[in-house]
Amino acid sequence: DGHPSGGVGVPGGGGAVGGGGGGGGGGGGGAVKTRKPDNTAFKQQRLPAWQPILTAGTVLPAFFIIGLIFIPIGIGIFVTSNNIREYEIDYTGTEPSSPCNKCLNVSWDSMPPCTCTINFTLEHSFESNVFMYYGLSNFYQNHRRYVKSRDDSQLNGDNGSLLNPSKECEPYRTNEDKPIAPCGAIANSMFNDTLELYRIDNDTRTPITLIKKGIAWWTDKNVKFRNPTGDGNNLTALFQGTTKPVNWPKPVYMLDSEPDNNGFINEDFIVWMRTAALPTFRKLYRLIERKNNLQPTLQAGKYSLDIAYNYPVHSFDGRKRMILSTISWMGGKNPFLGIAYITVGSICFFLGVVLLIIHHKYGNRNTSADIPN
Amino acid sequence: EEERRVRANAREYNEKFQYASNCIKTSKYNIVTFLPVNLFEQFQEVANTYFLFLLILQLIPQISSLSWFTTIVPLVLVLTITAVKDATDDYFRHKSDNQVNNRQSQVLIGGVLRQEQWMNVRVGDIIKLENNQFVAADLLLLCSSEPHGLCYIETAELDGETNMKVRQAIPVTSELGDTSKLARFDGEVICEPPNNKLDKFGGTLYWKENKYPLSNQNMLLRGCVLRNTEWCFGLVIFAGPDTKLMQNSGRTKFKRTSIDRLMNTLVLWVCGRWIPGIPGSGPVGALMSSPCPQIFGFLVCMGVILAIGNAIWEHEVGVCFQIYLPWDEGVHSAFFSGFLSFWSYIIILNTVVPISLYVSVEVIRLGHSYFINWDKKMYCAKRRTPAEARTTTLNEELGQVEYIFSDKTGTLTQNIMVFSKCSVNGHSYGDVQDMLGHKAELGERPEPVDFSFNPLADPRFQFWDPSLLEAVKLGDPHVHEFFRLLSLCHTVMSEEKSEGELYYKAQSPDEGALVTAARNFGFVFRSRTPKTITVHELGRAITYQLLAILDFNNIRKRMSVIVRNPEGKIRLYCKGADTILLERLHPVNQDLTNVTTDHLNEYAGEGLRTLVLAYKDLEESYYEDWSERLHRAGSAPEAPREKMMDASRSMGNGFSYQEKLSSSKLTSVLEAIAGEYALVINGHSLAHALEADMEVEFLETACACKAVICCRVTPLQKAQVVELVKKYKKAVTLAIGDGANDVSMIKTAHIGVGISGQEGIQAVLASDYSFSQFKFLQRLLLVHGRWSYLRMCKFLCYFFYKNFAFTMVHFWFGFFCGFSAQTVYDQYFITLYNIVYTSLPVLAMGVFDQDVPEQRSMEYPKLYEPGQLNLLFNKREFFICIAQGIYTSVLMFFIPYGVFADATRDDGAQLADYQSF
Repeated sequence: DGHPSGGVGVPGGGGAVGGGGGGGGGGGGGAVKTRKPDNTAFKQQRLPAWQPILTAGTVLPAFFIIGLIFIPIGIGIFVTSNNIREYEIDYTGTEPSSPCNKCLNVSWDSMPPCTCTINFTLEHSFESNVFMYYGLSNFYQNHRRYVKSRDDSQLNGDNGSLLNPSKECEPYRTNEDKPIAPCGAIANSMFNDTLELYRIDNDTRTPITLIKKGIAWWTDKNVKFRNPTGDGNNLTALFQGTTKPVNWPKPVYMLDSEPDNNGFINEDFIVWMRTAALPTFRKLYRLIERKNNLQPTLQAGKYSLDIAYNYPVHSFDGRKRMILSTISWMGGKNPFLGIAYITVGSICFFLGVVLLIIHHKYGNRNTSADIPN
Repeated sequence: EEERRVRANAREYNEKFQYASNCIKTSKYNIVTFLPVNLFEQFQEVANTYFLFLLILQLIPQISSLSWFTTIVPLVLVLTITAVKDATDDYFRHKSDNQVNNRQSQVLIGGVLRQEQWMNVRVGDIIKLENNQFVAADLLLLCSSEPHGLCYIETAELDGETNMKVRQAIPVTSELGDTSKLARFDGEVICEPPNNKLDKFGGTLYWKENKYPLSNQNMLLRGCVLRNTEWCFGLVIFAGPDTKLMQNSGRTKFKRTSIDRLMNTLVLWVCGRWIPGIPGSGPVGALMSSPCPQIFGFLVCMGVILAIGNAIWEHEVGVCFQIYLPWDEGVHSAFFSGFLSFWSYIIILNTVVPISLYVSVEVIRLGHSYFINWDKKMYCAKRRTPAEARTTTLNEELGQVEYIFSDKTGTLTQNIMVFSKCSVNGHSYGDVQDMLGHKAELGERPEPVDFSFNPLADPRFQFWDPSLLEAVKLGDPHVHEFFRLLSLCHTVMSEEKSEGELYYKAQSPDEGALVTAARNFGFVFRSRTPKTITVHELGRAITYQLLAILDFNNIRKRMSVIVRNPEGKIRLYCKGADTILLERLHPVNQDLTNVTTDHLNEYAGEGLRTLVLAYKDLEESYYEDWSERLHRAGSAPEAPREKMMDASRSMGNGFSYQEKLSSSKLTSVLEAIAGEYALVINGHSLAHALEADMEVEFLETACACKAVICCRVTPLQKAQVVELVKKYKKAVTLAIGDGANDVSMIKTAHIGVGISGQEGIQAVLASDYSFSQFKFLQRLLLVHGRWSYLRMCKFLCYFFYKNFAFTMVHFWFGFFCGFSAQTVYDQYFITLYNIVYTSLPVLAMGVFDQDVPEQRSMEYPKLYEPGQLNLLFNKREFFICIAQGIYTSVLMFFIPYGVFADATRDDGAQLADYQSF
């Protein structure tokens, strides 16, 4: 019979049965199973298991081994990091004495750009390839509204998105009824100071060659960013119908003279578009290659940095820096990792010693009392 | 509907009342309504609504910190699975409805029997039933193939009892044997409106200007099966949804499981204990609900902190930063921005309580239930029944039980009744004696009494005292009367497959034992009709006229019959509880009563169950008078009727015999109880103890004792005791029982355990767990309960730990991204973190973890204590978990922060970009 005989059940004398009483009957009470449960390890909960039991015999060696492995690694990393040469100049110009102080309140479209020169001296020579970075502080490239304010398909060369950018780009989506290419707050706020480096040798200024290609991630340059496609390679024609971002002095197809570094695949642009995770960040600006094996890339001595100061940061208390750095097998200067390894290793070693002493002093008293209960 | 009027064979007349037709509908949806109705029901769950709310938040661009698919994927998954399950359930309901509605039955229409589908049967129709057919609706039995309009039914479908029951037509209609007479029958029934009381019916039949009272004895209820009766006719009184069966079946509504309630607590921020599956509050609730307000509070707290941070940031920094990042349209103040970011952070931080928590908890509970069902060591080979977890939601509560309420008979004891001793007219029989006539020690039993003189004896019956048989053979009138009473005063049905091969079907095992005893001593109950009982007394067939049966019930605690023997003398035979019967005895027999009471106490001291038998000769006129009063009372409400019967009996009677049954061995539990302090209280005193002003005192006294034994209590009192403990002690209670009288107790306790034993399956139906032997309870609690509790606690700790470690990283990142609710992780990672990446380890631990082997937890019951004290998952443990999670999240954020802040790749490119980070 198919009646749902749910809560049928009438106790002889007792009437009031508290509550709804609907709780029972999780499964259909209909089919009464009469078969015997299988005798398998799974069903009888006899699966093999391993339960680590912490004893002095396992814990002490573990501490010592961790300590002995981590400390050398940490020292190695720390020494490597310390051997890396790094030089940093803050050229924001908030101090009245700074040469760039005059440019502090520039605006985007000041023409001609405000320029300033900062002289500095390198105490040590930079032996291997040198990487030149610009650094910004208090700049929130990781703000949620900032991060999402871009149109990846537009940057990937999609013609539809080029003329009709995503809504995420608001309020930098259109300007004067023309779509902005590239759209969004990230592109709009692209860093546009120009930095030039000169070596001063007996009052003669020798410009140092700065390579501007090879600074972006390969995947970004070749996969993520593409210029729009169409007839011919004339970027001006391909970007027809779009307008430049509000803050930019010139449109995207005039970022560089070389065609494979122009438009969306301009490497400075790509580097900027890879947003930083933290409000203080540095981005690769130029490469300085070592010319020959006899001379260091940058000798110790006097240098000067020429800045075309276009990028205002003073209004939000931002700072601008220029960083010169060499690179080792583990990347740039980064003492934290080495210190972290050394710290953890030392703590483990120390704990090991403490536990060993404790074990040695008190361990024998109740070795037998481990198991019961 | 105040009362129901039904006229036989008058469809037009009955139609104007618009009674329900016999078509039943237990399904909830059809194809069109399924989607909206099901979704509506699912969104009544606060959990689902909560996630829908999150989803809506995520669709607002100003707020959305995660894209919508992070919530919609799991939500849709959960909704779909539930919907598919509901749909399949409903499909099977549709199928079974159809099958039931299309069953054939024979309906008398216009004097001709016609085959009709069940759903076309109307109230007032007369239908014909044949043997082994299901009863189509609630019928008033009119007549049957058996004499006196008798018929037999099996009510397993209704109450789980498998013995047959007798129903009888009222005499006037029992003569309407053929269709032509029935077609002319135009009686009108006025009765109570539809209700769910299976054992009560009150109504009156008006026919030919006479009134006839109707009772439950005249009714055939839907769901019963006709047995041993060739055919019968019945008048449809209640049809379809009005039948008692359908009135009893639980509404097919959306089941609320404890998970939902947990979520409700969480969302509504209601402190206190939430109520799990069974009525009453449970510690699964306490277990999980207590931290939940904190979690929710925590969520809000974090959100507020970050929102304030955002407001300050926007006010101090963001305003100036507008040259690169202007505020959204419509956001004009830092305050409003903070308000928006509060919601954004709620979305992000909600991963501390993701949907997967609820799914995982369900999966784990289900796993635990299956382990209970699969346990070979809780399988009873004799009855071939494995243990069954009938609810999946209470497993971890099994690890926290503090108070166990157990029924004795059938639960502690196995409820196999054997006639072992009796005291007749002051003489005690039944002691096991050795050759010299001394009381024998147990174990050295002599040969049992030889019953070979009696061809009808049951060979399985054993008795060791030959003196009782000798007394029978010598013709001691008291002993004869003793066994005559046993063979007459009962409700046992006999079945004689072949000559001399008698089978008794008894409603309770003690009746069966008594009638069997009488049978072996030469007073063989052969057969019964509604008006007669035939007994072979020492080989001589005697037929007694049965004038009345006053059946046993829990209030009267006795049963009586009034019979007229072939000589024409009317006698009342009565058997029942000693407390009730002894006070009704005639004072003349005071001496005998005292002797008998001594014997009774002696028997009771040996742990035997005792009954007192008595009889009284009745004057013809007295009987006439009584039956007249009974007749009149019949149609009146219940109470006065009961009273009258009492009045008739209390006239007292002759002498008392008695007899006992040995209950089989008690389990160790009872012995343990007996050892320590124990409070023994009987039903009478309990009634006083349970009064409002006494109950606290009673509870305190009871709790001071190691065990409390309540004897002679009604089912309601059982439930009241459980309720009392639940009310004043915040402890988990477990009730275990096997009979219908335990149902209320089982339902009241946090956990109800049913023993699938001899007394039907009502207890099992009401229970949360069932198995067939009491001893399995130990394993259920100490092994399964303990493990479940342990696993659930570890699971919750682990789960909250991992989610706090995961989520709090966003909190730390907030300080570096202007509190803009930017996420640290990729959205796909957030979506899949709980569903894929971290789901299996927690689940595996929650399902399989064992801290000690099962043997150990059986050996050392002390291991059970942490559960009772709720040591493994309380606020303290919870905060330790959270602290650990937060500590982990600090490491998880600040170590990468230190490492990546200035890191460059070995080709010079910066690594501190958002994507790498």
